[in-house]
Amino acid sequence: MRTLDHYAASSRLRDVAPGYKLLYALPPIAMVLWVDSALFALLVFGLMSGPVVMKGGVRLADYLRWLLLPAAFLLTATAAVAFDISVHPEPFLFSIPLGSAFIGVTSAGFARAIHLAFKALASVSCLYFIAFTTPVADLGRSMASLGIPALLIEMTLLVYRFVFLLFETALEMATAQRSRLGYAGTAASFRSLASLASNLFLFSARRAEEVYVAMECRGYDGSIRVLAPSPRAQRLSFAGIALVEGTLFCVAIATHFGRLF
Amino acid sequence: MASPDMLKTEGLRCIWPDGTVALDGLELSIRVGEVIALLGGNGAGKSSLLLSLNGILKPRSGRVLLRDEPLDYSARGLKALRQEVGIVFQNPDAQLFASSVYEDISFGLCNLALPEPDVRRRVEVAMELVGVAELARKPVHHLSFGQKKRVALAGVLAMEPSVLLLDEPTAGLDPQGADAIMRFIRDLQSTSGMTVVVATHDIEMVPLFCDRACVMERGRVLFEGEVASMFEHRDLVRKAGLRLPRIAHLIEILVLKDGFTLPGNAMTIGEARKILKQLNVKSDENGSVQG
Repeated sequence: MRTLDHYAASSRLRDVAPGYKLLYALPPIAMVLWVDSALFALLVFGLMSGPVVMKGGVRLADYLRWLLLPAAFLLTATAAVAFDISVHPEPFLFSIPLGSAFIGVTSAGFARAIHLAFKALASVSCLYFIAFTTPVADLGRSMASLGIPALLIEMTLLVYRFVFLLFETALEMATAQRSRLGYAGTAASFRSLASLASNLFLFSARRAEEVYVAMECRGYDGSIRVLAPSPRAQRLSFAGIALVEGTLFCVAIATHFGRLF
Repeated sequence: MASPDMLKTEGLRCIWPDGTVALDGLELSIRVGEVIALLGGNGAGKSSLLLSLNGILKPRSGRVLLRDEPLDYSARGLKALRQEVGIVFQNPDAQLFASSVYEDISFGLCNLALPEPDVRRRVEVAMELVGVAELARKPVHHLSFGQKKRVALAGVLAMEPSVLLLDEPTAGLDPQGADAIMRFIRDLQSTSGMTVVVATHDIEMVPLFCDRACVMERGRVLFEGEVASMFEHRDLVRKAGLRLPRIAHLIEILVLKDGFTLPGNAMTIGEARKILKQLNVKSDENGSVQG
C-alpha cells in the first residue's frame, strides 16, 4: 500500500494553497462535534471525501481501504458505548445474563453508538482531506505564515524527512533478523526487538552526526534556510470557501436546534 | 604539466577522536583543472583526506594549502573555503535533509546569502545540469538511490565551487548509471575547468575518466602520478590492496607469462585495441613477406 505521503505528493489538489485547504477542512470538525446528528456527519463526510476522490485523484477503493484503518478503533470504542448493564432485562434490545445482572444493548445506547461512529468518521474524513491533499512540507511552510517559531517548523520537517529513513532502516534490520530466525520464539523475539531498538538508536546518532557534517560543508551556521519551489499555489476564490463554510454552519445551527434532520 | 597547485597538503597528519591515525604525514598536490583519483583500500584515509580538504577535519600537524594559502579555520575562513571546495558524500541519505528536492538544492545557496532570484536561477540551472528538474517538488524519500545521488551532486554544484570532492561517486550505482555520472563529471570538468578529486574503489573507471591518480595506504601516499604510469608502479597499486584494471592485468599476463611482445601498455579497451591493431598490421606485413 502506498503511504499517505505518496497520495499527498501526487494529488491534483496539491497546488491549492494549504491555508485554503485548512480553512475548508478544519471548521467542519468543530461543527460535527457540536451538532449531534448522523445525517449532518454524513453531509460533512461527503463534502470532504468527494473532493479527495473526484478532484484529488485518489481511487475510491484505496480511499475506502484507508478508512478501514480508523474503523477498527471505531468499532471497539463504540461497542463500549452501546453496551449497558442493568438488573432488569426489560430495557434491552437483547441481553445476556451475568450473575444477577444483565449486559446488553438498549435502543438509546445503540443510537448513541451510531451517532458517535458517524461523528468520528466525519471528523476523520476532515483530517484525511488534509492528509490526502497536502504534503507535510507544504503544511510546515504554511505554519510559518501563522507565526509558529522557525525552530519548531525546522524540527518538524527534519523529523518528517528522517522518520522515513529510520523506518526503512528498522525494516531492513528486522528482515535481516527474521532471515536468521530472530523472531522464531518468544524469548528470541524479545531479544531481537531489544537489539533492533538499541541498534536503531546508534544508527540515528551516527546518521545525525553525518548529516550535521554534510550540512556544515554547505555552510550551515545554526539556522536552516531554504527556498521552497516557486509558488505555483492556486488561489481559489476565498468567497467560494466562505460560502461553503457559511452554508454548512447554517445547516449545523438548524440541525442542532432541531429544525433539520 | 606546469599548472599551479589548487590544493596541496604538507605533512598532513589527522587523528580521529578515538585515536585512529587517519592521515599520517600525507603529501599531495592537486593541480588546477585536473581530475585526480584517490585510490586505496578500505580505511586507507581517502574520506579523511576529503574531509580535511574541506576543513571539516582539522590537522593535528602539517597543513592544507588552497592556492598556496594555508586554510583559515575561522568561521569566516571556513565559509569562504566551503564555497570554493564542495564535497559530495558517498551516502546521499547523509547529505539530503530537506523535505523536497528543490529546498535541498537551495540550502547551500541560501547560506551564501545570495538574493532570492539568483538562488532560484542557480537551483534551476543545477537541476537541469544533472537532469533532476522534473523531481523538483518531490519529497527526498520518494527518490531512487541514483536520483538521490544526482540531487546531492546538484546541491553542491549549485554553489559553483572551483574544486569538487567526490566520495565514491559510483558506489551503489548500476554500471550504466556509474558511467553516466563519471562522463557527466568529465564533461563538466572540461567545460568549466573545475578541479575534481574522486575517492574511489572503482579502478576500471580511473583510466577512462581521470588524469592522475594517487594511491594511498594507511594515511600515506604510495604513488602519485599520471594514470598511465600506474602500470609501471603496479606493485605499489597491489600493495595498497587494489588491483590493475582488467585490461592492464591481461596485458601484463600476456607479456610475462605468454611471451607476447607488445608495442606498449594498455589500461582501457580503446588502448588495447590500438595495440592489437598494430600487432595485426605487423603480422600482415610478415605474412605478405612470406607469401
